Amino acid sequence: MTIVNISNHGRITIPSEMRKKYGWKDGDKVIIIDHPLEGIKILPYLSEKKLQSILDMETSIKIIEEISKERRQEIENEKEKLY
Amino acid sequence: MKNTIFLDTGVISLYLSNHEETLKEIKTKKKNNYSFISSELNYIEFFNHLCREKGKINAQIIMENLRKGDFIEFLPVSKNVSILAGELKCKYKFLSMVDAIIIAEALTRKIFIYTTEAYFKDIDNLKVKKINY
Repeated sequence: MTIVNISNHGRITIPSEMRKKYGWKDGDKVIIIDHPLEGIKILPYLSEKKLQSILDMETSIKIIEEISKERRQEIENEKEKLY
Repeated sequence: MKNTIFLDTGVISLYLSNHEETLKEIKTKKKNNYSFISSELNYIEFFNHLCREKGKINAQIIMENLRKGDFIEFLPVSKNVSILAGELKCKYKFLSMVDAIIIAEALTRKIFIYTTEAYFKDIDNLKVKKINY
């Protein structure tokens, strides 16, 4: 844990060892979210190009098929409740 | 007003995996000033599956980058969409809750929905494009 000061306009400095660990350089963007349970979180910003290839095709298809299966399962569960 | 297209979860997943047909379609539409929307329910559905595959922190990174980027806006469920979704769920027994809500959103806005699900074509008056993978 590191304690940092909040300066003018709410600026804080991310300690250098953390910047190194996450590969953050001057000018890089980050995303700050206010998580409902975990409070303020800093997440790396991904360029659109990087985001477009963040998943491999195998994982993507697995997710699509599992979502489809879940949606179908919901209907099957409803039928079981009816009869 | 800009033209809008609704993207179902499967199409967002394909967009994030460099799927040629999906990227080509989205880039073409973007050039023609289209914008893309999805539902907060798609957000939840996708987050859940990303979390299972990649862990919670990676799911947060991917989903928050999607939310904060220019690509897509996730919409909360409105009163009108709830009303129509209930009616759709009653009429079409094969629709899940998520299906009914996102179809209601597309029908209310009279816009195309891009999906990986084949059965969306059976909904009356729905403008649908099936994305194959």
